[in-house]
Amino acid sequence: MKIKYIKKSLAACAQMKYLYYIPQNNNITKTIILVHGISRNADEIMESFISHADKNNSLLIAPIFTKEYASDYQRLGRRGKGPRSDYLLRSVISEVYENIGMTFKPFYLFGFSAGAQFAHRYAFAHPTDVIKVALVAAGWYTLPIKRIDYPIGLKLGNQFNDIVFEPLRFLRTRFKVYIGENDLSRDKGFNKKKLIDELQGDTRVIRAENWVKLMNKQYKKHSIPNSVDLVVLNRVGHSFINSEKQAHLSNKVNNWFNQD
Amino acid sequence: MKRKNILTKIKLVPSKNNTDIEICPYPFNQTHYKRAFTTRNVNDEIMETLITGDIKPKAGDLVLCKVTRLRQHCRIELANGRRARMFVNDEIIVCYGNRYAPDQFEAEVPEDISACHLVAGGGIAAKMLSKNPKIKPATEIMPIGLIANANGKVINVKDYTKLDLQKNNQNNVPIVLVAGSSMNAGKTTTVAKIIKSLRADGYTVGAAKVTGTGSGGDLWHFIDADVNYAIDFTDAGFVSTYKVKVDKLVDVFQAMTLHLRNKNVDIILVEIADGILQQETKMLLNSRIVKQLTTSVVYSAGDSTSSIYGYQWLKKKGYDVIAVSGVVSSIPLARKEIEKNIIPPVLDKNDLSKVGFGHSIMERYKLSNNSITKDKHSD
Repeated sequence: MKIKYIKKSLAACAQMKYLYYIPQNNNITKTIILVHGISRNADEIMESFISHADKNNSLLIAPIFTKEYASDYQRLGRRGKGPRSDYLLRSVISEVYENIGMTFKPFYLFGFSAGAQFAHRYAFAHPTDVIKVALVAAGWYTLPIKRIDYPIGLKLGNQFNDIVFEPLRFLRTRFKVYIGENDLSRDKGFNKKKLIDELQGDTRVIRAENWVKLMNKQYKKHSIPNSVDLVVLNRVGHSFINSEKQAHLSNKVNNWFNQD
Repeated sequence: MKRKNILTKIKLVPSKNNTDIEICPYPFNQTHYKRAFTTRNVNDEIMETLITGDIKPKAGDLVLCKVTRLRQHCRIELANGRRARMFVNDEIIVCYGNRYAPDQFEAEVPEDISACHLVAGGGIAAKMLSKNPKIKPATEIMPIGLIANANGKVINVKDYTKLDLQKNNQNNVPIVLVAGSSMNAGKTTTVAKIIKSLRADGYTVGAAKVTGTGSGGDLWHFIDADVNYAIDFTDAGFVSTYKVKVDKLVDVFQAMTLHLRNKNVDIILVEIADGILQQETKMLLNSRIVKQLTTSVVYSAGDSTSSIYGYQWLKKKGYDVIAVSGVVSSIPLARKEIEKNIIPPVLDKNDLSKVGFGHSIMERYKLSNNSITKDKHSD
């Protein structure tokens, strides 16, 4: 039998919808935020994670950033490009917490494809909000390099009034990168900008490998006892459903979230 | 609490360039921020969204800011009066407003919501135009966005007054006005001392500060002197009164004194900020309505020359000046200079606190039953 979750609009904004699921025993020990890709596949991600939620006492929340309302959500909603997606996520979490009588506490963050872009940028901007961040099949990444302009690097112009990227803080966050071994196509949704190809590689697999290498270099450089692992999903291309069917992605991610 | 959706009423501007206005929900109930005194009459629960982009703020608009550099103001006065320390990157909720303070800054509401200054510890965001050389430049802040309700309407303190404006036929409550030669001339201390005397003599006292810059200092001073009811212009929906038009200032004066009359006080003390030559103070004192409502004036001054000038200026306007007080009253030679030149007594803190001083004010009022000249002309 399909387990039901709730779909709602944010009280202060009808266009901002979200899904959430409260574990049946009501004994919430962790919150997992699930962020969809540009196909807005929040439902399929939710359905995969829900099978682990009761066992792990996880509150699941999946924001839905629509193309019409929050088209720049992967890049946190830069000035003049739509609402701030980090504020939207916090508002959604805040509303769910308010409804179930919880106070704000750090959460686990999962993002698929464009959702993974959002997830690592959110963690860079708000490192104290997150405990672990699982990045699956991101098209490209913000590199932890200060001299390159955001969103490719960390150098901020006037995109945000209140975000300051502080590597010494966000390098303490625990990331894990997942990528399908066959995620090699430069499809319609793939960012083909020359600069990104040059800096990060020309497929999602290479970009993931390079980002992981670069992050691990940064930990070393700053003597921070942290590391990012890259998990290659066998027989998987750029598809959440296949990642789930072929590689049991949600199970893998939940196991990692459950580890100390 | 039932909330309405933003988009039922607000049409978002399409997001194509940097000149757009964005309305975005913001989790105010889960965020740590320091909320300033000037915003205290606004209920937290209505703060739901942030407005960013190319928008021109107005005096009184609530704004969420990040502290970027601490300079003159290292503390912010919270709604409860506690002066909280600020740190770089703190989020604070303040109001846009103009400021006129010769001891500190002249500042005005900027044209946009770009980086500006915290120009008053009570919580005023503005662009600093000039500063007194004795102080540091103003603390630097970066507005994150204007604060709006669930419908995307910017919250402005003018919509959140707490005055009781029911009509009251009890017009026989004396109003004693305390005006001065400048900022820090001793006006608030004078009001507090008069409050103490009147309270000790058994009267119910209301005190109002009608002009100035939003800050709880004077209000807490009145309350600490055991006043029965204390209000200031922030309760009438203004964060500061600099650059407010005279008819609005007179409305504030009338509204605040009406509110206190509705509390059935025996006497109302009204403090007007700054010196009598400051533009809003001067306009208010020139108002026919203010003159008619005022029973008498106590004038606080910093030195003998300004005492004599101020006394004569007020007399010429038709006010009944019953005493000179303030800083000058504690300087023996200055007192002598004044007493040689003008009639009213010079009263220092001890004189104002003397047993029976409260009675003497009330008796003077009963005898004259409004002794001021009804001057029909304004400058």
